[in-house]
Amino acid sequence: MKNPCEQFVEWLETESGELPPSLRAHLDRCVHCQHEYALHSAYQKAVQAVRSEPVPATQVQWSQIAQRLKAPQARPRWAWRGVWAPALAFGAMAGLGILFWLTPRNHPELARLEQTNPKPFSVGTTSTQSTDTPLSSDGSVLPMPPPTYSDSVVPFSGSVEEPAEPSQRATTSTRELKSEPSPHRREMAMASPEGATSFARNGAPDLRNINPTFQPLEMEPIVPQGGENADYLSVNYNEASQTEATPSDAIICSF
Amino acid sequence: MDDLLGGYTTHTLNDEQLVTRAREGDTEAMEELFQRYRQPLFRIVYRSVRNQDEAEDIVQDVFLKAFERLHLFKERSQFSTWLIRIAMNLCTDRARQSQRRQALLQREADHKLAWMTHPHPPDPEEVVQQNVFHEVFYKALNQLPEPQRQLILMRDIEQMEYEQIAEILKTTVGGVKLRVMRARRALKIQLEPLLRAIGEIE
Repeated sequence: MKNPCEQFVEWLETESGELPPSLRAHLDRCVHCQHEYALHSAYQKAVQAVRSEPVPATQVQWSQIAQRLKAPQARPRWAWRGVWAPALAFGAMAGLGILFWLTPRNHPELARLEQTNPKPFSVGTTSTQSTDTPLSSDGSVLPMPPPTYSDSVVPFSGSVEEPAEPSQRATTSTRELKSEPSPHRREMAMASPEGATSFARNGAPDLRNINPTFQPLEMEPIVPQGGENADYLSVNYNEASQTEATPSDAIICSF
Repeated sequence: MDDLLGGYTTHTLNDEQLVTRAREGDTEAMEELFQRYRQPLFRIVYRSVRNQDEAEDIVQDVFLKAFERLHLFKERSQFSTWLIRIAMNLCTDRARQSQRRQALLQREADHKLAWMTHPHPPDPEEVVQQNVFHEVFYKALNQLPEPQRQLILMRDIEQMEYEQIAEILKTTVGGVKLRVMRARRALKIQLEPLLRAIGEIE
């Protein structure tokens, strides 16, 4: 049940005809409703004043409308309406395509790197001399050789040597998969003391010759991440695996 | 000039018939529609923008749009209602585009009402004589958002039926009543200090 003040405001807002006697009696003694009524009356008065305000006669003539109605017909706007958007879209796409096509080839830094750096290791699957197969003749898994990038780290051999030519290195590495390791690689492996392998960038000077106090960072031991239920396929580089692999086995490695 | 067609002149045709003929490119039917609605439309637009030149520009644009897009008029409402809807949309667009103009008009209105804040307000009878109600009303009305302004103009000033407003706004009659009520409340809040300043309320 609404109180009389709410009923009165509702009556004002809904324009519901004559004020009921009960609300009239309430209006006589309620200051709040008297204020609302005075505001409403003044509002009505203002509205009446605006309604009675004279509006000038319009000067708009039919000839003006007719003239403007004819104007668009002379100009074939419709002919261009459907053309601009597709043309702009096509132009933007063509521009992006050209930019994408040209940028890598013309970039001077990339061109310089291509000339100066040897290409990364490849197993030579496209080579005519290669007879690589994923499995050896007895069915055991052959491990992948470690990648040999120009800026990757390699076990330090104790002496600074010039890196082999890229093509020669790739061929050698491919051969190593099928035969015993090269003397050079075995030498490198033997030169590294167990558990504290020294590293040097390919072609970089031995830092220990420059600073005797230099201590290379120790490698953190590999900790299995898969918990107790994870099986890892043991991999020994340059040796055929003794464990029979199944198709579900996977070798996950990072460099 | 009357166009005799089937024994009828354009003056005797109703809106639907004129619209049908106007759709077929009959310029005399268009002219007849224009003559019928130019002044009522101008009155609504003039009260909305309060500037004769601007109101006339808008009225021209309304008729141009209406005749160019007559094929879009589905005759679910009256032609006059459709014209008012176009006019209200154009008024709204103008109001958005001319924020700077509105600010100037507001400053002008403030200047005109500056005497209200004077420590010795003039006699109320004198106020009535100066017919300041217009300025007070429009000053308060201009504080409202455009949709509420249009509702007050359509319902309280032009005294349109709720049904017609509902058609213009493409909503229900109940929805229009509710919106009008809210618009009035908002307008009264804006009006109250101004009415008090001219001594209309205590």
